Amino acid sequence: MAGIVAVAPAEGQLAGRPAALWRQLLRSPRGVIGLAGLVWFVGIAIVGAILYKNPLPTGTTSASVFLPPSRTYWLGTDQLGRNVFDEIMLGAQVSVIVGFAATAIATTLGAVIGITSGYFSGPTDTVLMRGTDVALALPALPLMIVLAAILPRGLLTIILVIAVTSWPGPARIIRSGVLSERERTYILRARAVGCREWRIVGRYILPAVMPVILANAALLTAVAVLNQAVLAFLGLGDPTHASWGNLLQGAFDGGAMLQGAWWVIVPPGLCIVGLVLSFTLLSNAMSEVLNPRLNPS
Amino acid sequence: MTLLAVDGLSVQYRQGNQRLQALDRASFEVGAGSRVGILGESGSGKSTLALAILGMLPPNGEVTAGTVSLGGRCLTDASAKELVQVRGRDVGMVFQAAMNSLDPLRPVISQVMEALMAHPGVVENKAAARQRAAELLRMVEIRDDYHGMYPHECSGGMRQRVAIAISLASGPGLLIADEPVTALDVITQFQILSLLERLKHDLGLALIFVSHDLGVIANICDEAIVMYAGRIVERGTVQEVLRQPMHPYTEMLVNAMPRLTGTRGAFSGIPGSPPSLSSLPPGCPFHPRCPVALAKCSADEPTETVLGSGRTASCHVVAAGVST
Repeated sequence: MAGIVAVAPAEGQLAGRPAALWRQLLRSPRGVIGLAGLVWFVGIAIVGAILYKNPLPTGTTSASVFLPPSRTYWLGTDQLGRNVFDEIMLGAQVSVIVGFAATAIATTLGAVIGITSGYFSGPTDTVLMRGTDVALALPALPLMIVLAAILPRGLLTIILVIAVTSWPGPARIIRSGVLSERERTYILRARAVGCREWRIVGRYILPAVMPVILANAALLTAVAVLNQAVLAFLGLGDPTHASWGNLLQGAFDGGAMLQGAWWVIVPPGLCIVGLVLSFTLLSNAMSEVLNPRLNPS
Repeated sequence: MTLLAVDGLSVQYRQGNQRLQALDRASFEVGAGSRVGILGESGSGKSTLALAILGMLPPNGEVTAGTVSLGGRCLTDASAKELVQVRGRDVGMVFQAAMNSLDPLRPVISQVMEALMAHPGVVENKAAARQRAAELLRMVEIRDDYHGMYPHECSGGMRQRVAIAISLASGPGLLIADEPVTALDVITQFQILSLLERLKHDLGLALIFVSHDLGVIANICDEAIVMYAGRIVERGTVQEVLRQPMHPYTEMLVNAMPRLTGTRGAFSGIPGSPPSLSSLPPGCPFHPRCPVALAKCSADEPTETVLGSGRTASCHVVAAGVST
């Protein structure tokens, strides 16, 4: 007993815990690649938002359409003679904003429903979970298309449409986390000490399922980014603002495939894949680091 | 002075379409500062009794009859809100699984603080809570340099001592300990038991000690209650119950315990196994295993026979012996 080195005082340890998790995340290759990708694309979005103004100028003559990459046009021009590089830079913010905003809404909704349902079992659980099942059973893409078509065009609509179709998955996953946590003795012990139910939810259940929520949110962001691109490609996005999906759609409609103008299709495609992959890798690394049961320290 | 009075308490669990009688008309009293041991096999209703006192039965369980009153206040009629105020404040509880009764995500001292702040008026602010929490941890013999540790860094005995500190945070007059030393090694058991003994002495704490270990009950308690199939079959002082058991079940339980001193091999098991709550035998639930069962034992359920002050047994054989 005496040989055990004294540990840091309580405050220091509380503060040190997130830092330790952070270090572990940076030690995992997937975490590093995911974070680097995230920083890279968010950087592009910020720089693009500062340097470029929507809408971008179109070409003046028909000769400026579908120009291959050159020193002037690093990534060539599109069917309207716009600089593809500029479009990529300006379009990044849409993907990033939609990804984060839709995820924030969907995760909050999913967490509230999942925790309420999992912790307060009985009729509440039944009603909420049957609702979730119905939402889960509805095919997401057609639902998104219908909603995007009837709601007014704009960024907010896209965010809402993606959020509304992506909360049921997280709700179910979070609920299952709560179910296993709820039965643990320390929850019973907290109750025996005289903790109120909402205090137990806030102080014990929520921190315990936080890793699940966070890892799931990162994955959800990847899906939201992809969905935004899909909607834009289908012509249901915000047509007034450049985005990677819009770029792809314009290129497709403008006959880029027939012209062999790969430079209009490949760069936005790679950007979408890159951003989605960053979030997926990050989610993967996070669930590994944040899960204390896989992580004996 | 009576602190806790349990009168005719019955608890049923719903399981599918079945209703299982986990506790059947249990009655006993706990005086202020006294120590009551509840003895019984697994499934005899010990833990159900402990949980029912605090209104903490799982969602499928309900009190179907009887009352629990604490210091003259009825707990079985109390609202959920009133019960929350009783828990921790008037009655503390320690659970069996020491390893699981702490939140794995927080240092131990923060968990004691949490318990202190669960009730208004126990401590004024966070700083006071921290100070009081440190005192409580010292009281259960956890050194200051261990206060910031996480549960996984503590030994089983330490965790159980922290759990005791948490349950005593708001200064309850009664502590319910549900198998607090099961799954701990003998030396740790001894430490926890001495601690409870000392706390009882220092704080004037009344104790309900649930265990299936006769030796532990004999060491720490003044009174003993023996349970079988959800019924209290015998009660009295520890001396009376363990030295002169009246109920055949208690007698066999005592004889089933090997002794360090005494004749080699002079102990015996109880044949058969405890009845399933879903198919209790008619009459006395113990009669199929009872060596002295009478004809009426399989027909009528015995009632409590009072053998003295606070000394009862529920057995036809005992009743017959008393009346003749």
